[in-house]
Amino acid sequence: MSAAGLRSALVAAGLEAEVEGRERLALISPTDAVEARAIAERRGEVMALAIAHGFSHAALELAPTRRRSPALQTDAALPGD
Amino acid sequence: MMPIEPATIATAREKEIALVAWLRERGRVAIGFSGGVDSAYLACVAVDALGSANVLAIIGKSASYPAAQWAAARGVADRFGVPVLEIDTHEMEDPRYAANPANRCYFCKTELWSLLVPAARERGIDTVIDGTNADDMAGHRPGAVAANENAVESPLLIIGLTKAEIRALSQERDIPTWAQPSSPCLSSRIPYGIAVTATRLATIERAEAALRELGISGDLRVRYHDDLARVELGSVELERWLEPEASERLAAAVRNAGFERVAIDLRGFRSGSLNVLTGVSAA
Repeated sequence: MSAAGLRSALVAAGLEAEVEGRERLALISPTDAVEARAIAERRGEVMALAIAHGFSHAALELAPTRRRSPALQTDAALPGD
Repeated sequence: MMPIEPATIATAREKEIALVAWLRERGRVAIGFSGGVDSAYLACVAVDALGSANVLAIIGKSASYPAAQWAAARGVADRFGVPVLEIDTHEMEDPRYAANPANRCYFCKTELWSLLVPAARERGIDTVIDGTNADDMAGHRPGAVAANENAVESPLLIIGLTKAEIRALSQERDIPTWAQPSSPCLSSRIPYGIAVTATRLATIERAEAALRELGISGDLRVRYHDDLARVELGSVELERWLEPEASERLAAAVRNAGFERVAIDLRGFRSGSLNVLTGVSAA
């Protein structure tokens, strides 16, 4: 399973999202509502990409309330702040 | 629900005649009764074949048995005159069950039958039966081993009635479960190897109940992934609930039930989905 590989494949397909690998589940967190809509509409294609990267399941996170990826935490408070 | 072909219903009716004959040979039966499609049908046919005095439907209640399922079971029993006995089961107290191994169902069914079979015998009933059907042998079903060990018989399987046939015959009898989605126990939402706890089961049950209240019908599972709920929906509902406004309502309902994060499975509902995810079954 390669979450990074799947994320790159999604970007190459024009879909911006973070991907978190949870064993064989790819948890796809879109960057905004527009991307969420695009992933939902192209879910067959997204599913095929997930399988190609070794996942058995792919799920679209709904209205993510926070991000876990360090790449998306650039405005997070620093230790000691 | 796919309409059943006329030839299929004719075959199903013949099998039902054989089922009635099988039941009459036994005279009195106790049924492991969940109120699902199969056991509801079996209980109704048994009452027709033997009379309610010779039938006892036994419900095993525990944290893994949803309250909505219990209500459905009682509703069928009341409407069709099926005598019911309720027994509390304690599989959650068995560490072998709570550890949630791939054969978890074996420990649950062992607990269930170890209580139901003696309860039946105490009431002079020698034959204990369950709703296992002819389709059930295809999947991963360690619970069937426990049934065999406790001499529980499966007449729907013996006669060869399939799920589609049972639904069609249930519809003919106006049993409300005919179109009910399959409803395995709540523990099936937790991946193998992750402990089954009463708190987790309650959270899953609240989430599924909240989604039903939103109007979601048909197949529905809230799969437990620690902080994340992965929602599986049937194809028609999936289309509808991926719409932006609808998905926000769905996410809010599941968060209110106790999950921190919510996701919709992009392929939708798959029976045994977690078996695939954990490598117990092929994708």
